[in-house]
Amino acid sequence: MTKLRVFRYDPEKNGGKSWYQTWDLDIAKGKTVLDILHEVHYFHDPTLSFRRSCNSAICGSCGMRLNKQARLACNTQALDLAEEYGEVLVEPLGNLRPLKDLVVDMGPFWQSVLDVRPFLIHQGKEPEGLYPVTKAQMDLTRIARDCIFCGACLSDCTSREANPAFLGPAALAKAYKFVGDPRDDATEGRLAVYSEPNGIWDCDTCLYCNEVCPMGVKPMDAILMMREMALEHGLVRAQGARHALAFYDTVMKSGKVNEAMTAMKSLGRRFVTDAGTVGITLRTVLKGKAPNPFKRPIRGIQDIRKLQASLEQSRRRSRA
Amino acid sequence: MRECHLENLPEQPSRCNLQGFNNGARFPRAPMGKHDVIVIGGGLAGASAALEARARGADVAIVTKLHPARSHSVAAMGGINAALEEGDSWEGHAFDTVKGSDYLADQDAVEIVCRAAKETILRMEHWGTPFSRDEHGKMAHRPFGGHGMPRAYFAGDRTGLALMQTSLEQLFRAGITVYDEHMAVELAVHQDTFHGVVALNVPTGEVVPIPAKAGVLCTGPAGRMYSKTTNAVTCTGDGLALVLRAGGALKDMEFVQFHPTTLHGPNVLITEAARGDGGIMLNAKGERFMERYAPKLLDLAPRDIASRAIQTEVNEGRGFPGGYVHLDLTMMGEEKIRERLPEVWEFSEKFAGVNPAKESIPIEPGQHYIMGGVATDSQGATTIRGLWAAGECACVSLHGSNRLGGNALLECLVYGKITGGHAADYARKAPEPPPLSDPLTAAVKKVEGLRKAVGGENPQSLKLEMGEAMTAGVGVFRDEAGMRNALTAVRQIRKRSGGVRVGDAGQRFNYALVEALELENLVDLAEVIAYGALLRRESRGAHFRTDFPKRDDAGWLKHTLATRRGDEFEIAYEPVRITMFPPKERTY
Amino acid sequence: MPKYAYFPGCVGQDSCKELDMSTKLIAHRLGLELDELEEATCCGAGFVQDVDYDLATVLNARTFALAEAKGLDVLTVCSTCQYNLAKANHELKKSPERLAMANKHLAEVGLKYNGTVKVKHLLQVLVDEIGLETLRKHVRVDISALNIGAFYGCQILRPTDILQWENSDNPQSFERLIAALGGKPVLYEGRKKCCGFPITFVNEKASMTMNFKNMEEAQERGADVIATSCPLCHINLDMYQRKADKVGGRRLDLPILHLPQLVGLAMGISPKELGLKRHLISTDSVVEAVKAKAAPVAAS
Repeated sequence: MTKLRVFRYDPEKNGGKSWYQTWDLDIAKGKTVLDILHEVHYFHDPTLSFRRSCNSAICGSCGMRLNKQARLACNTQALDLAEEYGEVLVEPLGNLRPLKDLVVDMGPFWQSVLDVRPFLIHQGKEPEGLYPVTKAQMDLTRIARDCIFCGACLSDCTSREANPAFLGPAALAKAYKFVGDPRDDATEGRLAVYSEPNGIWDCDTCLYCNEVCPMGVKPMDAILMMREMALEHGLVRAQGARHALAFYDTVMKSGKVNEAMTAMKSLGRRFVTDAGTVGITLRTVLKGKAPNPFKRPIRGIQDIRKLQASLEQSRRRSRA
Repeated sequence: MRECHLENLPEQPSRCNLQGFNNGARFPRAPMGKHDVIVIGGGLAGASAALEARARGADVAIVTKLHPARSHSVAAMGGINAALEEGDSWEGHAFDTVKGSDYLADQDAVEIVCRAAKETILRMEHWGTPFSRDEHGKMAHRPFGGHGMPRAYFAGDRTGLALMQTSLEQLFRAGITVYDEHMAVELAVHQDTFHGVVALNVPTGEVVPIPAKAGVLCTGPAGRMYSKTTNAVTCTGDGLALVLRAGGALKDMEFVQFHPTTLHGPNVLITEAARGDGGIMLNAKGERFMERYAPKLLDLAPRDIASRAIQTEVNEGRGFPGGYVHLDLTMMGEEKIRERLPEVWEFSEKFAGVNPAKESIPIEPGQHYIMGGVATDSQGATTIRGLWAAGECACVSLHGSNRLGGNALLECLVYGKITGGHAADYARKAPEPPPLSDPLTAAVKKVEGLRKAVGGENPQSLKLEMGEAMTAGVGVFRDEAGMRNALTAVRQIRKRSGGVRVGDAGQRFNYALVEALELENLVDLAEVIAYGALLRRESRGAHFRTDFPKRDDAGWLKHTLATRRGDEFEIAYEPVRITMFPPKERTY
Repeated sequence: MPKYAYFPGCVGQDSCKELDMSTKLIAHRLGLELDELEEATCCGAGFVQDVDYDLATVLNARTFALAEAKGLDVLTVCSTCQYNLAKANHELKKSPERLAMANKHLAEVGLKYNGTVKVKHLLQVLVDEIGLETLRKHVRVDISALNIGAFYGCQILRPTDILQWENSDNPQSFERLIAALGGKPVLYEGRKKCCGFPITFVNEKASMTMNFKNMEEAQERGADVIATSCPLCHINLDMYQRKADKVGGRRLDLPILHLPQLVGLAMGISPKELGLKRHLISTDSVVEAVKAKAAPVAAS
C-alpha cells in the first residue's frame, strides 16, 4: 500500500483554509500520478479538482508540484516517487494562487507571456514564398520551441518567488523564440524591452527551470543567450548589464575577478551612498575580509590577451 | 553602439480576455457581452476560424472548455500535407486523398482543401511556424501512409504543437477574447437558426448565456466512448451532441479510425512518422507481417489496412500476450531517434520503460480519429442557419471512410478559415439574436439537476462499460452479432445515464459535473456510431465487417445521416459528390 | 592518495580567503594532494559568459588543458565554479566543433585540450572518493551540539544532465557528510534553492528576500548554523546577512560556515586557523557549543 497525500483547498470550505487529505492505495507498477489522481476522483472523492486533458505530456494541463518539485502528473511514475520519499505528495504549482485543490490561477502566467509580445513581428516586406532560413539558423531556437505552457518552470523559479513582477522563464523562453528567429525583425526593440527591470537581468540563474521543464526547454539558457545579444546590440545601461560588464572588465585585466572594483563599477555612486553597502564595506575592512582593490594580474595574463585577440580576429574575418 | 527605439515596437495587444475567474461572484445571469461570431472550441480549427472572422471585421470570441493551448490539436505529431515539390500537384494529393477515403469523400471538398494547401502552409510559415528545414533551407518533408509522393511537412515530431502555438500567438496578437474553461451545454437554436450558446463557467459554476449572430463549431475529437483511444480525456464530441439535440445532422459516424501504433497500456500515440523514418512492425514470430497485407507500401500502408493487419495477427495468435505486436526502431540508432522522433523516445521511456534504440516498442491499435461529424456542405455550413462546423468535429466530407495522415491538420486550417470567413460575412447582415431565455432555462435545469442528484450510479462505471462494449463490438473488426450487442449495451447505458450521481455539489471547478455532462454527450454519439455501423452492410475504409468484407458501391456508395427524433435516432442517406475520380478498387 | 589539479576560484582566495585556508588544511590531514592551477583564470561565474560566451569557453578550455598537462582532474571548492567548468567541459566533450574552435585559439598560446579531464567539487570528492568512513576516522571533536543546515547552492545540484552527480530534488551528500562528522543535519526546503547572490547587484530587494526566507526556514527547522559549499553563497548569506535582516524584519544571527571549515572543526583544527574569526556574522556560538562538549574523541 502506498500513501497518497494531496493538497485540498476550497474557499467555501474549512473557513477558507487549506488542508491535506490522504489515501492508502494499492498502486500497480507503471501507473502515473495522474492515473492515481483519476482513480481517487472517479471512485473515492469526486470533489477533488485538477486540470488534465491529453494524458500524453503535450497539453500542459496537469502541471503540479509532486514531492515538492514541479512536474507533469501524467508522465511521472507514482511508485518512483513513493520509493524515493515514502509517499506521493501532490500540491499545486508554486508561485501561482490556488483556486481550488490543485487548480491554480494561471492569469499572471499568461500575462507574463503576453508582456513579451509572443508573436512573430516582421515589419519589412514579406517574401513571395517561404522565408529563406536554413536548418542551422532555426536550430538556434530549438532550446525554446517546445514549451507547452505547463507552468512548471514558473512554479519553481526562485526569482519569481522573491519578485512576483519578474517575467519568468516561460515568458522569456518564448521571447527568445522570436529574438533568435531570423524571420522576426524586431530584435533590437525586443531586447531593449527585455533588458528593463524584471526582464532578462533579473534571473538569478538558479537552473530550476532548465531542470524541471518536462519538454526539455532551457529557459535559463534562452535568457543567457538574450543577455549576450543585448550587450552586442549596445544595450548596456541596464543594471545587470553594468554588473556583467564590470565583472568581465576586471577578469580581462587581471585574470581573476576583482571583487572590490566590480562592486564599485557596478553600483557606481550607490557604493558610497547606500548605507547598507557602506556598512558592509566598513565591517569587512575591520575584519580583514575586504577584497583587494589593487589585484595584480595572474601569471600567464599575456595568454589571456592573446586569446582575446585571437577570438577578435576570427570574428572580424567572419564578419567580412 | 546603436540606439534603441522603443517606439519601433508595435502596440501592445489588448489582454487576451481570460474570463474564467469571477472570484466568488455567483450567477450573474446577464449576457457576457454580445458578439457577432462565436467559435466553440479553441484548437487549430477554432483559432483559424476566429482569426479569419476577425480579419473580416467581425467581433469574435472563442468559447472553449479548456484553453487554446490545451486543445487536442497539440497532440498531432507527424505532419501536414501539401503538394509543394517539383513533380507533385494538388491533383495528385486529391487523388491520394479520395482513394484513401475509399471513394466516400466528397470530391468538391477534397479539391478545395488540396488546392488551398500551398497558401495555407505559406501563411503558417509567414506567421512563424518553425517548420523543419534541411541544410539548404528548404522545408523538410517526409512520406506518409497512402500518399504516392512524400508531401508531409513537419516541425520535428510535434507539428500539431508547432501549428497550435503559432495560432495561439496570432490570437494573442489580435487580442481575441477567449472565454476559457467555459463548456457549451446548450445551443440556442430557434426556427432552425443559430443564436448563440449557453455555457457552464467551470471555475465559478455559473451557467451563462453567450448570444451571437453566427457560430462555428470546432469542438474536435469525440473518441472517448472507446476504452482504448489516443484522444484526450476531454475529447467527448460536445459539439456533435449539441448539434444532434438542436435538430442538426451527423454524417458518417460509423467511420472510426484506429491508429495502428499506440503504446500498449496508456494508448499514447506512436507517430506514423516512426514508420516513415524507417521503423518496421514485427509479430511475435519476428516476421515483417505487412509483406502479406500490403506488398508495395509495406509498413506505410494506410492506417485502416495497417490496423486490421495488426489485429489479424493478434486474433490469429501471432501477437504477444496482452494483444500487441512490436515496432522496431533499433536500426535507426539512438541519435537519429532522439533527433527525428524525440517524443517517441520520451513516451517509450516514461510510459513503458522501453529504450527504443535497444528494444522494440509494444504497440496495438487504438481509436484515434472519427471521420464522421457534423454534416456540412462543401463550404462548412451545417443544416442550421448561421452555424458552421470545421475540423475533426465536421464531416464535409474530406476523409470519407478513412483519413490519410497529414490531412487532419490541413483540414483544420483550411476549413477553419473558410467557415470563419462565412460566419463573419453572414453576421454582417444577420439580425440581433433574441434573448436566450429558453435555452438558458433548459441548461440551468440540466446542470443543477445533475449537480444536486443523490443516489444513482457512478458515471465513471457507466463510461467504463460503454468503452468496453464499443471497443469489443464496434472496433477494428465488426460483425452483425458484435454490433448488435454493442448497440443494445449502449442503449441500456444511455437510459441509465439519465440517473447518475455526480458526487460533488460544489460550484468551483466541479469536474465531476463536467464529466457527467460529457458522458451524456458520449452515450448519444456511441449509439449513433453503433447504429450506423450495424446498418451499413459492406466494408469500406475503416469500417470493416467480417460478414460483409467487400466494398459495395452499388448498394453503399452513400453517406450515413443521423438525426435525433425525441429520444431516438433516425438514419437516412445522401449521395457522395463525385467530381474528379470515379470509384475504383483500392489496392496499394 | 587522491591528487587533483586545484582550481581555487577567485573569491576563495580573496574576500573568502578562509575557504582556501581551510581547504588546504583539511586536504593535508586527509592526504588529498592539491596541485594548484596558479595560472588558471576565473571560471566566468556566468558573468563573463553573459558578455562573451565563446571567450569564456576558451578560457575554461585553457584551464582544462593546464590540468590535463599535469595528468590530473580538476577540483573546485565553489558551486559556481563547479557548474561553469562542468558546463564548458560538457560542451567541449559533446561537440567536436566547439572543441576544435577552442583548440584553434589555444594553439596561439601553445596549449591543447583533448577532452579527458573531469571536474569535481570538494563535497563530491569527500563523500564519494575519500569516503565517509575515512572522514569518521579523522573526527577528533564532538560536534553533536551543532544543528547544521546544509546550503548546497543551485549550481552544484542542477542541472543533473550536466553535473551528473547528485539527485537534484532530494540531495543527500551534504547531510550524510554532516552526520558522518558527528553533527546533526537539519533538512529544509531552502537548502536546494538560490541564495540570491547572482542578482545582489541587480535587484537587491529580491536577492535579500530569498536570502532571508531560506535562512529563516532553516532556523525555524532547528538549524543554529549553516554550512555551504559555495563562497558566493557565503558572501550573500554571511556578508549580506544584515541587509537580509532588514528585509525580513528581524536579526537572524545565523553563523555561516564553509564546507571545509566544518570538516576542519570536527577534525580538531583550531577555529583561528580555519579563519572563523573573519566572518561578518560571528561564529562564536559555534565555537562555544563545540567547546562545551570538549572531551576529545580518542583516535580509533
